[in-house]
Amino acid sequence: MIFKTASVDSIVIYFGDEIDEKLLDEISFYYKSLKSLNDPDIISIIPSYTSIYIRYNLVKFSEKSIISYLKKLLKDFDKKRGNGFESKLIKIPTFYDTSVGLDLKRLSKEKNLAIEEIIALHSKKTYLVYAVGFIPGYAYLAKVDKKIATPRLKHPRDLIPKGSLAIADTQTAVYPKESPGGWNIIGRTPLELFDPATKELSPFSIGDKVKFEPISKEKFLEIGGEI
Amino acid sequence: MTPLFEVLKEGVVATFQDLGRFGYDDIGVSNSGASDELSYTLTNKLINNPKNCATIELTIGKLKLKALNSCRIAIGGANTRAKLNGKIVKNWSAFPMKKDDILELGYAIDGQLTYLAVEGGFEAEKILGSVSVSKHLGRAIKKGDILKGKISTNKQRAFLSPKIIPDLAKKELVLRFTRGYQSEWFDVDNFCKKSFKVSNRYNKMGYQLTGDEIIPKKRELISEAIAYGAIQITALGQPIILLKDRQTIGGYPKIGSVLPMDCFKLSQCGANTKITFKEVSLNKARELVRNFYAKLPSVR
Repeated sequence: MIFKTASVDSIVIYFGDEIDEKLLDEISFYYKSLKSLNDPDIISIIPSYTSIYIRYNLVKFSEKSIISYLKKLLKDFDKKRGNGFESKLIKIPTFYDTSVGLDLKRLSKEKNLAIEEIIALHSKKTYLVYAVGFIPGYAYLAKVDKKIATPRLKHPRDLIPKGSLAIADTQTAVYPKESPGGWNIIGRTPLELFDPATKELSPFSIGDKVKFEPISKEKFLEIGGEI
Repeated sequence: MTPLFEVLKEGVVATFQDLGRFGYDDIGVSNSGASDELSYTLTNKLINNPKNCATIELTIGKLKLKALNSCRIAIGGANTRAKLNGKIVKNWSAFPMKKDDILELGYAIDGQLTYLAVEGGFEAEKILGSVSVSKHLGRAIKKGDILKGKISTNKQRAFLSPKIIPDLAKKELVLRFTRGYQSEWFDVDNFCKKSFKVSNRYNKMGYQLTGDEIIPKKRELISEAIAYGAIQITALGQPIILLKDRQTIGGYPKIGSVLPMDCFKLSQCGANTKITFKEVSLNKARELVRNFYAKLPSVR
C-alpha cells in the first residue's frame, strides 16, 4: 500500500500497479467500508482500478494524521473481511444491431467474425465494474474476449447516443447519457443508467457483476428504447 | 418564495451555482460549484447571505433582468458595467431594486465570471444536494425564466472595501502548486522555469495551457481520481489545470495540484494570460489554504 499526495487536501492510496480481479475485490471492500462510515471530515472517496482517492477536511487532518487514521481504519476493516459486502449482478437488456451499433459492421469485417459471433462473444461473459466515472454513471467494465477487443477510434465522435454499448481495448461500457466519445459502438440499451431523481442514481458500483442480454428490436422498443 | 425577476435577455452562459455537490464523485458526478469561490463569497457577503446560497454565475457577462418585486441584490466578480434603469451601478456593491426596475449587465471587461446574488439567496432546484448547474445536471438560465427568491425592503447600499476587491484583470498569473501524483515522472524544477499561455480551450472543466512540450518519463497511467487543481499533462505535452466541472477520473499523468485560491484566480483569466508555476511545500500550502479560508468570513 502506497500513500501519495494528490493535492493540498487529498491523497491517493495505491494498492497495486496492475489491473486484476483480486485487487478489485480489495479496493471495493475498502471503498465500501470507508463510505459506510459517513465520516463528515472525509469529503470524497473515489475508487478506481488500482487506487482509492481520499479528500479530507484540512482543518481536521494533516496529511500525516489522515494517513495514520486511514491505516488504522483499513486494519480494522481487515478483521471483518470475511463478511464483506455483497456485489450485485446487473442484467442489461441490449439490442445488438447494426442500426444502433455504429461500429458493428466494421468490427465484423476487421475481426473476420460474423455479427452473431460478436454478439455471442460479448454477451456470454460476465463483466466486473472496475471504476465508475468520466461522466455520471459511466461504468468501466472488463474484460472483453480478446477476439473482439478493439482500440479506441482515431477520431472520437462528437456525439454518441444515450445507452450506447461500447468497446475500447478489453474494456466495455455503456454511455448513460449522450456524450462525445471514442469507443466502438456495438449496441444500445433502453435502460436508464443515471437518474438523479431516483435514490439509487446509478445501478453500478465498483465490484459489481454485469451481464448483457441480447433483446429483439420489438423488446427494445417496448422497454422504451429509441432508434 | 416569490417571483423576483423575469429574464429579458439571457446571458452568454448564466447558471446557478453554490459551493458544489459532494458525495457523488464516486459515481462520476463532479463537485461543480462557483468557479471563483472568492468572488462568489465576497458578493454574497455584501448582503450578509448565509453560506452556500444559490447565486448566478455569469460567464463573460450579458444579462438583462426585470424586477417583479422589491429585493436587494449584490454584484461582484468581473465588471460588466451593470446599469440599473440605465444608470451605471458600481461593481462589488449591493443595492435595492423595486418592481419594474431593469438591471442590464454588459460584457465583462476585466475577468470572466460575474456573480449576481440576491438577499436570502435565489430559489433554485437542488439536484443531489446542490443547485450547481454542470454539463450533466440542471440547465442554464434562459430568456423568459422567472427567478424566485425572497422579497426585501432593505434599501441599504453596500460597497466592498477597495482593499479587498480582487484584481481580476491579470495579464500574468503565478500558480502555486504542491507536488503530487506522478511528480517523479517529471523534471519539476524545469517545469517551474517555463512559462505558458492560456489557450482558447478553457471552461469550468479545465484550462488548457500552451507552451514548450513537457515530456514525462512515462505516459501509461491506469485511470485514477483527479483532484481539484490537478496539473495534468496531455499526450501532446501540454498542461491542463482541472477545475470544478472536471471529469472525476482520468488516465493522464499529473505533476501535482494548484492551490484552490489560485484556481479561483485562474477561472477569471481569458486566453493568452501568461501562466507560470511556483512550487510550495505541502506544509506551506496547508498554511496558505487554511489562512485563506479563515479570513473569508470576516471579510466585511
